[in-house]
Amino acid sequence: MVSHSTSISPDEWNNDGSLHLDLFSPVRPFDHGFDALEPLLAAIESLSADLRPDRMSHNGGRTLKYSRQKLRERLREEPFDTFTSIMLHRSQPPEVLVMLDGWEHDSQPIFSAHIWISPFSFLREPGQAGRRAEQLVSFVRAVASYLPLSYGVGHSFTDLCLSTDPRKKDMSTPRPIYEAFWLNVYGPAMVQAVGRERLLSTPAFLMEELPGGAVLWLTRPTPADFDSEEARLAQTRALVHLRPELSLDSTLEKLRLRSLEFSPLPMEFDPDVADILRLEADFLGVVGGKRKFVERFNRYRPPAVSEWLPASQAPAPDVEDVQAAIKTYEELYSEQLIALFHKDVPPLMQGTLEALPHLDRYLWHAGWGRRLTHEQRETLVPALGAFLGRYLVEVLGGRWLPRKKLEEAAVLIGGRAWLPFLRARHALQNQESPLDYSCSQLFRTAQRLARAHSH
Amino acid sequence: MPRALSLALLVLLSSALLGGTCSEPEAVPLEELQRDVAPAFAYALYCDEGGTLVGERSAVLLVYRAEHLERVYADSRAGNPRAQVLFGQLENAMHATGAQLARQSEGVACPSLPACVVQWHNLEEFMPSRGEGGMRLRQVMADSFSRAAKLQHVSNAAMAAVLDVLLVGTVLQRGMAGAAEAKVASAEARAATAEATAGPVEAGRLAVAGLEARLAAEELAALEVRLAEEEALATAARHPRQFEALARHRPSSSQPPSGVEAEHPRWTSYVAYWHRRYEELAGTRPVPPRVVEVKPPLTWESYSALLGRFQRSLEFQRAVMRWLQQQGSREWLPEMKQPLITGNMGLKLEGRANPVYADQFAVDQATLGPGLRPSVHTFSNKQRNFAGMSEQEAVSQLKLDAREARVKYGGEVEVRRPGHPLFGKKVRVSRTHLVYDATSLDAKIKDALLEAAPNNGVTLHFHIP
Repeated sequence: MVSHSTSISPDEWNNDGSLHLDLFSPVRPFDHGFDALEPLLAAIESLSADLRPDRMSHNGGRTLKYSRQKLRERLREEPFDTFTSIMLHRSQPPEVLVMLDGWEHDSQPIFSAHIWISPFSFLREPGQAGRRAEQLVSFVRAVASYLPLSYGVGHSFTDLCLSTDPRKKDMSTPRPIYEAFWLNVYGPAMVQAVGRERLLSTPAFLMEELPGGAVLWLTRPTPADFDSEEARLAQTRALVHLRPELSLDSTLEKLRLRSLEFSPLPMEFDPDVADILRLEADFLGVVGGKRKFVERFNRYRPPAVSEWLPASQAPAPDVEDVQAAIKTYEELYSEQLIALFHKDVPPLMQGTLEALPHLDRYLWHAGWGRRLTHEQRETLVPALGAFLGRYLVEVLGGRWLPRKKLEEAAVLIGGRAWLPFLRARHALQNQESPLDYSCSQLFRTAQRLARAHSH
Repeated sequence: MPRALSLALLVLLSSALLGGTCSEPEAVPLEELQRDVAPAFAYALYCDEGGTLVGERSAVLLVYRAEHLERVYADSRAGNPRAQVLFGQLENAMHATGAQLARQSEGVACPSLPACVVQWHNLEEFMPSRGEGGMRLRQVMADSFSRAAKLQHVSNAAMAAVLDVLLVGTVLQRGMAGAAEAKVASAEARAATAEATAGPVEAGRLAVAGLEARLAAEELAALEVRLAEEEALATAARHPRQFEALARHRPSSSQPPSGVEAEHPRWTSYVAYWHRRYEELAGTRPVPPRVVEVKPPLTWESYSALLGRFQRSLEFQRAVMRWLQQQGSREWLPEMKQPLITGNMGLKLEGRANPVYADQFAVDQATLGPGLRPSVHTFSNKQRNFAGMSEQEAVSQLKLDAREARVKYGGEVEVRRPGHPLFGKKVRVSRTHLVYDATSLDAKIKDALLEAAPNNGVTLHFHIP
């Protein structure tokens, strides 16, 4: 059995982390035709090979191999309007998404250039971190040499989401200073609001005036260590300098607490439901409160499986045609479940063991226990029960004992008769029941006993 | 319920016409009618010398054979006594059917409309003629229905929708039997069709399809359009286009695929859909006005899956609607003081012949009045399967959905919902919202979508029904 309490690295813990670099300008190059776009494309093309995109799409349309000439041709076919978007991305890892978007906010034109890189660990790679950070800084300089920038930020996207910065919800000019990040670009209005001298004297790793009146500054050499004590201290010192009303201690304390979210917590889940809980923990991610979730469910123990009878007490089949009943369970009911959920739970199609925890998690997470109408429940109980029963038969070598009343139908394995339909009914009674009465737990319990029995 | 009513129609069509003396009235299956090749017209096919109907099936066949029906009606108008007696019997049957349906259709009295609308749609299949005779019979049925329905206190809106299905495309005033209440009803019927400026409202199809929707009368048109759009866009398997090959796939209502009951409304619906499409391809049935390209019918599996998806999307849309009408508007429309939310809202866009339907339409009633600019928000509800998508794919999907929402429900729109405070007015949409079903959405994709949404001119929300 796989151990579920192995130590986890920070990058594994925050495995969906990414870096976002977002630059904003009040000037939309799209409004001035393709030529105005060329310097930006040149800046993207000059990214190093491990960051450079090789695919493109326009306004969400078909993905094509990138070439500047082909992009020019495609854009010529359609006139630019207020909302125009060019998206470049990589066909090979790491995932790099470059978006050039023309849009508006409160009728004010906005242009934004975004570079999203994932996994975040790419920025941490030993020996490469400095060079990759330099690539991003160069990109900012290149964009600023063509477009006036009003605002910009480059940081761990997860940490950005956990911060107090409302991101695009606040596009006001000047944009208020919420926090200090790894890379910061303040446009002329922001510079004026805070005072150029004051800004330039902020404690920072790099402070640089850009063309067009904006200022670029970094708290640290690379984005890699954003949650380290050193980085938090640098962020705090800069922020307190720019916002003297804040206290250093309480600001630092808040950031330290946030860093805690990034420090891995061993998952010590009950082994019978560990797969379900790990799926859910990964789903939530650090932004969704993974740490709290793990803390809570490390203490969780599901009730013992009660849906079984000693083999001697299992009722004999009372259906007219046993084979036909089994066929109905396996071909009709069980297939119904696959038909219902295969889109939301792709592993169902594989028919492998991992389908069970995926299914349990989905039923739990999507609230199937809570939101069923009577008819839906009466459809789903046979489907789920038959699906579970089929695993008991096919994987553990069980034998169906069909009954007219489905909840009495059993699968006989060794000394026990398991009641999959009864389990399914229990699993679908309320919000938490798909976890408390999971298919995974019954299957694993039956598997253990079957092994013990055969030895 | 649908089954019971469709039987009622058949039974009435045959038994009432036969004077109720015969033993078991024989229901003629639609598919049998569809195989029917009308012989040369002769009165003897249907009635005796005096014009009295003869034979169990004669009335059903006469009503189905459009040319024969029109011939009898023309003769009766010209003073032929045999034709007058014959047609009179058909009118009596229709009268009885209309009244009977109004009495039986609890579905009409309650707000769940389609359950009864379906029967009117069946009528279309059984009585295809839209000539004067066919319309006369519809009119008789409509008059009788609306009179009986009034007695049952069926809501005007519900009645209007039924009459709408029955009579749309006809000149309602003509031959309206002079009944004052019928005139009222016909005005409402026209009001209800106002949202669908083109094409008959065949809302019955939805009900036939077994979609258990509870809808306001005006929303039927919206659903009809959406279903037609989705059918047209469906990339799932279709039957072959070549006629000989296509004909081999002809479904039979009495021979459903294994595991499907013959009476299942979805199967009934499929058979009707298949035949409609077959006739459209053959050129024997006019193509609905919105349709650009007539595609061959979907296979049963594809059609059933389409309806399944459609039903889920309806459920999702209703869940969003409920949420907005309850606490949701405070969260999603915080700046509105008195939000009025309506669903499936018909909107006319500049330069587009057919109306579009916003899933939800919100107006702040505090901004209504002379000199004020109404604050109007529109919502598009989408269920997308983001499972397994990269950020790039998910954001591309968002861009497409946002663009569609902006084009269809943004800018300047004219409100086409009768009774709405903005009815007939042109208003500028202040903001367009996109609502995704978040059931199977992981955190990474969700954050990426939220991050990308503002750049695409929509306000994005997630909802778990």
